[in-house]
Amino acid sequence: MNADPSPQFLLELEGLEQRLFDAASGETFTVRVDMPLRIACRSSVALLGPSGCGKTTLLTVLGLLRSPTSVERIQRFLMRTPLGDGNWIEHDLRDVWQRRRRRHVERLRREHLGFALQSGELLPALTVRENIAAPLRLNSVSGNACRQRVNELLQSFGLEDSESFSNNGSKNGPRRLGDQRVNRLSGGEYQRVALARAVAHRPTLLFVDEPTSALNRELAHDALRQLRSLQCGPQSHGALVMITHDENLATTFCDVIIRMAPRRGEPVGEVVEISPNTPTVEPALLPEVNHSSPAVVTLPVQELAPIESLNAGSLTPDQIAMAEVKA
Amino acid sequence: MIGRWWYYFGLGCRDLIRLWSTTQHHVIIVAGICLPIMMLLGLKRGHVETLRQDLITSPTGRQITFWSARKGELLDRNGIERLTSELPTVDVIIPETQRIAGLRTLVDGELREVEAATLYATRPGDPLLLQLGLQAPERGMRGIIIGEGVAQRLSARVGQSVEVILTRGRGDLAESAKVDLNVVGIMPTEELAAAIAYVDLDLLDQFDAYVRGFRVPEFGWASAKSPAPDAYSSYLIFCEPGNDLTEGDRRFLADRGFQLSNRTASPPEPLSRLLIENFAEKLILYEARTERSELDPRARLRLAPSELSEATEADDVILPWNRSQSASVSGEQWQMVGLSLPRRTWLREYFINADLAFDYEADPFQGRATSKGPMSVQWPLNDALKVNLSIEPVKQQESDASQTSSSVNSDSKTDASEANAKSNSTATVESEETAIVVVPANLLAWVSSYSAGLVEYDADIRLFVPKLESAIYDRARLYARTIDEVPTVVRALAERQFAVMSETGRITEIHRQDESLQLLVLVVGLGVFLFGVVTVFSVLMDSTDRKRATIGILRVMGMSRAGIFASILLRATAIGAAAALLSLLCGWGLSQALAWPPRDFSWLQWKPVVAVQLHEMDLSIVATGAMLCCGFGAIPPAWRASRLDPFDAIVEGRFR
Repeated sequence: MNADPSPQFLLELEGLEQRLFDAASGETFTVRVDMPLRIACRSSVALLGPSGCGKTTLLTVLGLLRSPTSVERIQRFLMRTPLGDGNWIEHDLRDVWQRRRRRHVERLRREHLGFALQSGELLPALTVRENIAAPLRLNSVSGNACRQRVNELLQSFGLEDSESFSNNGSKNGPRRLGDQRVNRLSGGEYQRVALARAVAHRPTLLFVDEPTSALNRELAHDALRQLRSLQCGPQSHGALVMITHDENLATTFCDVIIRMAPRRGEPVGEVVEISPNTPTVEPALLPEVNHSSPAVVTLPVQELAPIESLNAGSLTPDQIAMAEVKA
Repeated sequence: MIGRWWYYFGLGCRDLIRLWSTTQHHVIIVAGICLPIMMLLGLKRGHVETLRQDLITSPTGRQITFWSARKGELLDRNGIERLTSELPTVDVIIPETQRIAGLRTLVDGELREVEAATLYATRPGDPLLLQLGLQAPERGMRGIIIGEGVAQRLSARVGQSVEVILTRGRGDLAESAKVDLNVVGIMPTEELAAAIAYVDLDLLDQFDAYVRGFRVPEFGWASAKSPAPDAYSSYLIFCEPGNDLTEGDRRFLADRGFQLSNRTASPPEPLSRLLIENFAEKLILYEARTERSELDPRARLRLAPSELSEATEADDVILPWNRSQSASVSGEQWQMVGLSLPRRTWLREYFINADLAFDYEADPFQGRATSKGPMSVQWPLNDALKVNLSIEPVKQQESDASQTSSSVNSDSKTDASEANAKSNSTATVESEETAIVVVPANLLAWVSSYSAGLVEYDADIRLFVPKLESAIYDRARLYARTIDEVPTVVRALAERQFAVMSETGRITEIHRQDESLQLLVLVVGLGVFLFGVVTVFSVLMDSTDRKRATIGILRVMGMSRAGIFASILLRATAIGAAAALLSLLCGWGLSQALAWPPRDFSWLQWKPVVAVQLHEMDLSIVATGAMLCCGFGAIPPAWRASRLDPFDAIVEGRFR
């Protein structure tokens, strides 16, 4: 691991050959990344491709959820994460996997990576707040800082309050979503909670798999705008990697589009194109109206510091509050 | 790190509480395993305790009665003290001594009396009385616990005074003593006719001393007017040559432990000076003694000489003999010789004066001398005690004696004269220095015993009386601290050669039943425990499979394998604790129901009353067992869960 004060790329991968054995069919499917794949700081990357071409498999390797099956074939696999003092640290993931440094991987996942998977997958025993706070608590963030960050995210993702209705359609009054168990949430709320949880601990790399499949277009745009603001804003040190089938979303929100496709006649899926893209989304720095929570206008978070800063006190409540301006 | 683990713990707790339907399912399964073991342990303990209770409530439960039976140690005060300190786990030892006494009260001017009540010994902390809710009188306290029947007849209440009347001697010699004792308790008795009472052992020993004729200075009671027995170091057997001891006589004496020695040539001093000159020609003198009679004052002989003489075939005369004592009387050295003979006997003729020796009925405090008196002197036995003696003179009748002797045995006269010439000349020399005073044999015996510290002189009645010795008890009752310790104490007493009577048989039987039931519970418990481990294993395996998605999310978020493992283990242990609590509550309820006697409900008469005792130890065993059972059962599922691939777990969990 080397200290790097100003990294251009947060993740670099070249020469991946990931084999997947399907016990039911007895076949092996291979996912290949032959061209250099680099994820720059403050960028959003879309993984596009037809179903079954290996997008999720690639995501799990990039997100350190699975070890590469042929580590020795990988030419380059690096990850850079910020230290609390402004410096960066480079992790040679090829070496980490080769030496089976399981705890190192767990720590990277816990502190620097965020995930929002297809169906959310929240913890059923916890409330919305507790679910969002889970990554923070796993990183031993103190109670106060945790509570403030959760409030911030509830507001950002429009989860603060909502109207509840009885069976006959009459209003029951406002419902405090944060204190609800997750089994009472609607599909959209559920997915937004999952997104809020994924960014709660300010990950360096955020991986999302079809994050807006349960949201309508408007909410999907809002949610992705939030994610982009948080991960790719000028003050951010992170990046966003997103699997989507929606070309429009990719061109609207992503700086890089990676296209994957199955090789004809072979059980292989590979990266076929990595192309830069100019997102059409409005500049993230401008205040934007949160449609799901009209009372709140959200600014991109000013200080996207690594997780240590939450506990170290480098971010005062005022600074955190400055990230959000109430209308 | 600690914060993270604390969070894992919190997650586990929330999981337990908020997903209660799953938790309760697990808790009920484990409680279903724990409850039968708990009830089994409770039933076992209840059954054994019922058996033990019979013994505990019975006054003889912890009691061991033991006696020396001629083999064990002497049961005197010192012996009791020694046994109390040396035997294991002894609560108290109380000698089983008793004394008959009269009890009397004066109520409203009317005299009420129980002529013969049996007083038993007790000690502070006597479990027999404690069982009845009574405290035994303190040591030295003049208190008495009377039986219910005695209390009724005397109209006595606690706090009142009762007069105890002790009687000793018979006929004209009968005398009595009285002492007032305070009633400290009234004990219930099965029969009102039973006249019993309890007094402290010290007090009862003093009563006993009085009745046996001893002086009791604490109460100012004098000795009885019966002298101490006279005891002798040997017997002198005089025979005439033609009428010597037969073989049968010698065998008779030998059978009784006597060693016979011929002392004709060297009679015990100063006997030669008191016999006629040539007695050796006309008499044969034997000395009969045992091995210890001369050396040990306690082993001195107490046979009546006449009884011994009658038992022998020879026409012998037997004298009880103690070594003569020197005394300094009025500035002179006197030699005190104890001589008592039958009033009419041929032997008197062989003494220098036939009246020199006393007869057996003579007043003991007198003396005779050939050259003294009549006078009254004081014989100093020590600095404190001087015995008054009246000395009477007797004349030497050497010629008469010689004649008598010669008439009895004239053939040996010349030889005897020559043989005694030397000894006579010695006696003459000695007589110039030391006067011989003959006293009754019993006086010299008492003086010898007094010198040995065996008797004492009671100046009030002018008698040597037996010295009070520590009471020796026939038997004693001992109380072990618990009935479980009774067999140990019994073994210890048996090793000391005591004869023992106790409830050891029943206690051993209870222990045997306890051990059998313990084994049964152990085997059943172990089986159920293993069954529980397997059940918990399969239940948690299924539960973990259902939680794959959750486990996957936690792993994706960076929760370590150890964290997953520990949280599942912790959850299982908490289920074990909850199950233990549930089974405890159910067990308590069930035990109450089983122990409840349905007296007021005739339709429930069929219900047996079963004693179930839920002991803390059993409860802790079951609780620990439940947690261990869950802990062990959770190890494989926890291990498997910690090894799950995070992404696969989520994907697979999603479709379960």
